[in-house]
Amino acid sequence: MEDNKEKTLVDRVWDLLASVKLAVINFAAIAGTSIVGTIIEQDATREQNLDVLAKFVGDSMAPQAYDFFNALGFMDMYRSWWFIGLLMLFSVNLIICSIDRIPPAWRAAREKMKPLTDEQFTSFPVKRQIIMDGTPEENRGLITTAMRTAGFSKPGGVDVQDGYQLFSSKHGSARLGVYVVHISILIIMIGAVAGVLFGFKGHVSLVEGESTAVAYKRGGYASTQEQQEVANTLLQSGGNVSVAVEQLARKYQRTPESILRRIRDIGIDPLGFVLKCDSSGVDFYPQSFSPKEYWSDLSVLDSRGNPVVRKRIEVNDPLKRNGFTFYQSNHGVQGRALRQDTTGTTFFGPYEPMDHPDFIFEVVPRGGVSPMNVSAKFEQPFEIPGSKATAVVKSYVPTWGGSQQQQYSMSNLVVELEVSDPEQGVYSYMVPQRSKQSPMRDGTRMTVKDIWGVEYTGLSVRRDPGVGLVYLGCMIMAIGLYMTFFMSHRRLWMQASSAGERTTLKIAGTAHKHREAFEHRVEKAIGLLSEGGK
Amino acid sequence: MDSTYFQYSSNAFGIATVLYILAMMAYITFMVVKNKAIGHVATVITITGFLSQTIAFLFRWAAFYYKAPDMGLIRAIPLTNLYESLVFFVWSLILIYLFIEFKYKTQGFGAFVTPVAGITLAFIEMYGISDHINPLVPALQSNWLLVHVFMSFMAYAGFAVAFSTSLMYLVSESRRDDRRNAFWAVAGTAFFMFGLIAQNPQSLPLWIAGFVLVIAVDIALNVEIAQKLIQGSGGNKTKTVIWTVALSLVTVMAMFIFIQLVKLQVVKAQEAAEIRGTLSQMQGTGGAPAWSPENIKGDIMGTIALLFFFVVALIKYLLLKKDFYLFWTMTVGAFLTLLGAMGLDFLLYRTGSSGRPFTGESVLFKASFLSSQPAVAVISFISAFAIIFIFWKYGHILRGLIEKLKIPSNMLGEVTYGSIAFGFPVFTLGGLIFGAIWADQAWGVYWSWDPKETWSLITWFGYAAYLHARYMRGWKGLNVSVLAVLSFILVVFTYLGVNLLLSGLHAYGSG
Repeated sequence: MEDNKEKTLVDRVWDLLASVKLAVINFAAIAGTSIVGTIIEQDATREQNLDVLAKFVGDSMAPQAYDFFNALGFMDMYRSWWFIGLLMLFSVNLIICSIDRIPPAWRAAREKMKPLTDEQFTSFPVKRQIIMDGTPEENRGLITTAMRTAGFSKPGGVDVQDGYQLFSSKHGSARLGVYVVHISILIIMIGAVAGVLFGFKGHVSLVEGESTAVAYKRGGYASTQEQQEVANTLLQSGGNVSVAVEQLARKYQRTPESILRRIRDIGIDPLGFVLKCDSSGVDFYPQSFSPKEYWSDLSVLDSRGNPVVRKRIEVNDPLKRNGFTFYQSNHGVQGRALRQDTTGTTFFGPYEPMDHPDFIFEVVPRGGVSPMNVSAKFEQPFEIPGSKATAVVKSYVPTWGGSQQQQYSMSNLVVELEVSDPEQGVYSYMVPQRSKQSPMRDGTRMTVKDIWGVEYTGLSVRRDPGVGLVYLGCMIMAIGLYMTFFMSHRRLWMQASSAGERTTLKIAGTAHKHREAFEHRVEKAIGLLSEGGK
Repeated sequence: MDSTYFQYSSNAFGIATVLYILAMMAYITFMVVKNKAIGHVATVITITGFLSQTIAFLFRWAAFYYKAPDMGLIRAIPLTNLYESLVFFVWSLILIYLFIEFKYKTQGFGAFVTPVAGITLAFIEMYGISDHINPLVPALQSNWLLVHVFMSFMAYAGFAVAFSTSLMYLVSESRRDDRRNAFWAVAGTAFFMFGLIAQNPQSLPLWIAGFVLVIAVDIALNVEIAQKLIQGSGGNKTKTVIWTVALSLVTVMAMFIFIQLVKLQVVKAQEAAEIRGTLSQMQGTGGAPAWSPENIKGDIMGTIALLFFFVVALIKYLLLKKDFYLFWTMTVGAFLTLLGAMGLDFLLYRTGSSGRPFTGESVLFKASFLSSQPAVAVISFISAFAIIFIFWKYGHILRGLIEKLKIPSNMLGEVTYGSIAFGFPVFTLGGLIFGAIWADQAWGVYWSWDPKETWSLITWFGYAAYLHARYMRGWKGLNVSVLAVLSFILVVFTYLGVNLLLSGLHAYGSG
C-alpha cells in the first residue's frame, strides 16, 4: 500500500514537470520578470545605481532603496538566484516533457503502413472513389503515376481480392520536429552556460601607440595599483603568462597558482600576447557629422616587439587571436582642458606624456599647388615649409562649434597655432581639418590632417568556448522549426478492384498538418486519372 | 541624382498612403453593405497602393545607393531607421493580407486588417518621424541587416494578421453579459475622477478621492479573488481576510516598485540623450524623447500610480469574470478611438501644409488627449469612454456584420493559427537567431539582455504560449485568441516602445 502511494507522488510530480500547463506558466514567468529587467539597468556598479536612485529618493534613502532592490536580485537580475531557478525549471520541464512524448511520437513516425480494409477507406478525412475504364492491371501504371503526382514516388503494394492496393507515407519525421526544437533550445542553453562559466567578456582601451598584454573585465584600463602592476609585468614579459606569473610569485612569495587566481579575481584576463594600437580614427560622411566608419589599426607583437599580424578592424569586422576576438566598440579623443574662451569653447592639450602626440599638418604655400606635410609636437616650435614663419601648437578643439559631449570625437578638429612671422608679426591662427579657413597672413594655406596619439580605441574583448555549441543549437533549431511548421506527415492509400470491365478506385489519405494543401494535391492526381482513363 | 529618386520615392509613397486609407474605408463599407462591387474595388485599390509602395521602396533604395555608392547595393537597402521599418511593416502587412484574401477568396478580413496598416501610417505622420535618408552608421554596415530586418518584419506582419483575425473570432464567438452595471458605474466614476484631477492637479482632496476609489475597487476585487481561491478548501472568513490583505499588499508593493522603475528609466534615458548630445538631431532620426526629468513632477507620478491601480483592477476583473466580450469591446474601442484621435490630429495640424516640413515635431494626440486646453483633454477622455461603452452596448451589430460575411469561426481560427505558424518560425530564425548571430559578429556578444533583445524574447514567449496553450484543455477557442491579441501588443512594444521609451544598443528611434 505504501509503495502505491509513493509511486503516485512520483507520477504526479513527473506529470507536472511534463505538462504543457507548466510550460505556459514558465513562459509567462520568464517573460514577466524579463520585462522588469529591461527597465532597470543590469550590471551597473553600486555607485552608478546609488547616483541614479539618489535623484529621486534622496541621498539618505538611496542606499536603502538600492539594498532593497539588490536583495530582491533586481540589480543583476539575469544572474540572480531566482531567475536562474526559473531557467532551470524551464530546462527541466523541457527535458521531461520531451522524454515523456518522444517515444509515442517516434512510434507514430516510424509506424509501418498497413493496407486498409474496405470500411476503413470511408473513415479517413480525405476520401474519394472513382470509376475508371479498363481492368485494374491495365490501370496499374496510371495509378502509380497518380501516387507520384500526389507526392509519393515509391508506393508499397499488396494484392487484395479482385485487385491490389498501393500505399505510401511521407515525412513521418515531421512529428519529431517539435522535439528537435526542444533539444536545440537545451543545446543553446548549455552553450550559453559554458560561455558564462568558462569564457571571458571584457574591454581594453588603447591610446594610439599604446600596447597591452591584458584585457579587463570592467573599464578597459587599469584602475588600481595592483591591476597596473599586473598589466606592466605581463607587458614586459612580451605577453608570456608563465614568465610574468613566475616573476610575481617570486616577488610576493606565493605560488604561481595563487598568483593566477588573484589576477583573475581582480578582473584581468591575460591575452598571452601583446596587442598594439598603431592608429585609430573615425571616417565621416562628406559634409556631415555622421560617422561612416570607426577603425583601428592593430598589430600583434612577438616577444621581441616585432609585429607578426596587422589588421585594420572596423565595426562588424573584428580581429581573432589566441581564442580571443577583438571588436571595435567605441572610440574617443582624450585631452586635458587648458582654458575656455568667451564663446564657451574649451581648448585642450594632451595628457602626459605631452610629446607623444604628433600634430600632422598639410601645407600649401602661397602661389603653390602641391601640398607638403609637416608634423609637430605640442608646445615645440616648428618651421612651416614654403613660408618664412614658424609656429607652435598651443591647443586643439576636437569638435569646433560642438557641445561638451561632442568633444569626445574629432568631428570638426581645429588646432590653435601661435605663428611667428618675421614680416607679419606674432599672431594666433586656427587650423581646421574639415571646414574652410582663410589662409595665414602670408597666404599659406594649412589644414590639420590628424593628431596622432590623442585618439583612443575601445575594444570589446571576448573569449567564449560555448559559442560553437550555441551556433550548433541555432542550426538544429532552424531544422526543427522547418520540420515542425513546414513539413507534414502524410499517408495515402489507393485500392483498385475490378468491377466488371472497369476499375473501382478507392482513395484514402491523411495529413497531420496543412490538410487542404494535401487534399489539393490528391485532387489534382485524381483529376489526371479521370482524364487519362477512358 | 539621389535627391530626384528621393522625390519620386516620397511621391509614390504619398500616393500609396492615400490609396491604403481609401482601401481601408472601402473594406469597412464592404463589410457594412456587402456589395460585391465595392469589395472588388477595395481589392483593386489595395493592389494599386501596394504597387505604388513597392515603386517607392525601389526608388528609395536607389536614392540610398547613390548617396554612398562605395557601400554597394545590398548595404543600401532602405531598412535602416524607424521610418523605413514602419513603412516596410505596412508593405509586408498588405502583402500577407493580399495573399490571404486570394487564398480564402473573401474580402471579409479587410475591414480588420487594413486599419492596422492605417493606424501605422497615421502614427508615422502624426509623430513626425523624419523620412530623410541618413547615411549608415558603422554598426548597421553589415549584410545581416537585410535578412534580419526583412524576416523580422514579415513575421510582425503575420502576427498583425493574427491579431486582426483573433479579434474577429472574439467578436463572433463571445456574448455580452448584461450584469455589468456595477462595472460601468465604477469605470465611469473613475474616468470622471481622472478627468477632474487632470483639470485640477493641485487639489489634494481630489487626489485622495481618486486613490480611495481605486484602492476600494482593488480591495473589492481582491475579496472576490480570495473567495474563488479558497473555494476548494471550504470557505472561511478568516482565510478570506488573509488572502484579501495579502493580495492588496502585493498590489500596493507592485505599484511602488513600478513607480520607482519608471523614474529610474526616465533618468537614464535623459542621461543617455545628453551624452549623445545633438548628434541624433543632426542625423535627423526625429521624434523628441518621450520623457524627460521635467515631466517627473509629483502629479505625473501620481497619475501613473492611479493608472497602475486602474489597469491592474481591470485585468483582475477580466480574469475573474472571463469576460471575452468586454475584452474585445475595449480593445476594438480603444483602437478605433486612437485611430480617430489621429484623424483629428491630421485635420487640425497637417492639412494645408505642403510636403513634410514638420519633421521632428510630434502632433500625436495634440488635438485630443494631449491638448494644451484642459477642457479638450477631458472631453477626449470622456468620449473615449463613451465610444468603448457604445461598442459594448452594440457589439452584436458588429458580430452580425461578420456573420453575414460568411466567414465561419473555424476559418478564423485557422487563419489565426496559420499566420502565427508562419510568423513564429520566421521570427525565431530571422529575428532572434540571426539577430544574435549578427550581434556576435559585430559586438562579440550574441545575447546581452539589451531591452530590444529581451522584449523580442518576451514576444517569442507570448507566441510560444499561444502555440502550446492550444494543447491545454479548453484553451482552443476564446482563450488562445486573447493570447494572440495580447502577444501582438507585446510586438508593438518590442518594435516601438523599446525604441521610443527605453535605451539600448539598437539603432532605431531616438536612442
